[in-house]
Amino acid sequence: MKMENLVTGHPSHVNLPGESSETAGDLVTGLTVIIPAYNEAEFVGDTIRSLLAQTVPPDQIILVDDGSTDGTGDVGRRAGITVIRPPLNTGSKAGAQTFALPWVRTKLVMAVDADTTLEPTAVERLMQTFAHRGVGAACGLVLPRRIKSLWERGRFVEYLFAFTFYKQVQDYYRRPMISSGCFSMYRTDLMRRHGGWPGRTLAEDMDLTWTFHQTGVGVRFVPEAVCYPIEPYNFRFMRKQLRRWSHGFIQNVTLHWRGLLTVPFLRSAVAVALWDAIVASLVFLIVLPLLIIALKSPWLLLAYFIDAPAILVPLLIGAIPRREFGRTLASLPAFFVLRLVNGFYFLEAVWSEWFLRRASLTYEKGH
Amino acid sequence: MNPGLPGAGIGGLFYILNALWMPICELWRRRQGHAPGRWPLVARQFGIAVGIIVAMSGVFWALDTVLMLKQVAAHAAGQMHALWTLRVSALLVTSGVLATVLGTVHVVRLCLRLRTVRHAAQ
Repeated sequence: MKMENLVTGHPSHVNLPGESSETAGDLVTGLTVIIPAYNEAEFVGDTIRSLLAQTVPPDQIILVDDGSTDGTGDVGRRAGITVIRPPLNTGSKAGAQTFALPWVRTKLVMAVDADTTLEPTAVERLMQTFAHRGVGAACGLVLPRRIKSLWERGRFVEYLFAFTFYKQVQDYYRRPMISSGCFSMYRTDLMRRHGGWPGRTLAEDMDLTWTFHQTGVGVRFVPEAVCYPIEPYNFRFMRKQLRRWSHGFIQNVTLHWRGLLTVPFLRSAVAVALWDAIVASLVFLIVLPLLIIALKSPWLLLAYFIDAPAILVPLLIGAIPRREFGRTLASLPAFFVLRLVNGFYFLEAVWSEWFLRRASLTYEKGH
Repeated sequence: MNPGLPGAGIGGLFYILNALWMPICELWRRRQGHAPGRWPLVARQFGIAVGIIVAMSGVFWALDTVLMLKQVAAHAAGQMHALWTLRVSALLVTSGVLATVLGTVHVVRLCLRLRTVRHAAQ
């Protein structure tokens, strides 16, 4: 594979794998950011700009133009960053990120989605956690950048709730369930030892995080490091994302369940999440409608949103410092709609993966 | 990505209990000589857990009030006992399911460990 076929941009930044004899110990201090991108010309410019505006800017930014046809690579070249292009589309985000790993020559590597912007201090905050030797991966807080459609509003509430309450509890017990794929930092030598980002499931971030927990590698959640991805704005894209996430979760449970049993807290959190994903979905989508019809009691409809006040407590605690009180309240109904749809896709994933034994490994972009 | 359905089912109870356990855990860590500095996080999460309990108590109180008014109007106050029983049993069922799920995880873990030990012995 010739260099000119793969790499364009700043040749001085490029460190081709064949030309390098670096080992993990030779990696220089600093950070390389990998941006996997397939037809992201509309958004990737914002991502690059937000990376260049960081209080601690990365030493190298590599845009993996994974077979785009919309000029994504040109946006990167114009911004002056390294652009590499695999000879064929790698088929997944994990594939694109792993393709770029041999070009990384810094001790830390970060993966950022091509539609994700960061707060100016986000990189600095994540880097600080690596002062502890045991930390191998760190992730930040995720909030949708655009909050207009029903689906974006639902996702906003879901993220704000989970990142204010669930994820902070997980981090206290040193077991964040996922180092989010859209914005995470890793030790490069560790990623190389693991062969990059695994592509054996549809949720490579969960796969990697659970592998780290099982091998004693520390994973941290840093709520002060905030990123803003573009979330699916219509049902078509939301369906793809929910399908990918649900199948990814079930695939990871199937793959890791034995290993997870050795990890305190995480084993319980995963068991509880799996139970809820199946049983709560069945109750919401089948049991409750049947009961409402059989008992002819509209009061039972309350069950769909009876936990609204419980959801509101962490939501408001998360929203008030961000001055998003009104937006949070206005978005709450969308959360209940998204939860129902989410339940449907969980059941579909369980049925397909466990009962029909049809593993879905086709990566579909979520927007 | 958030596996499960946030807020629904036993997940909420699981995280509430873990948040309520944090201060005890933190005190234990301090006694073991670990560095301080996590109290703000502990206080915040503990506060959220307490807030959720208060909020849910408020919901049940409001429901009671509405349903009581409805039943008094219908001269069916005798059914209030049934309502209270329903509420308590809902809490017991949720706690019981959570305990069963967590217990099952430990039983499976012990079974696998026993099998490994037995294989190693053979």
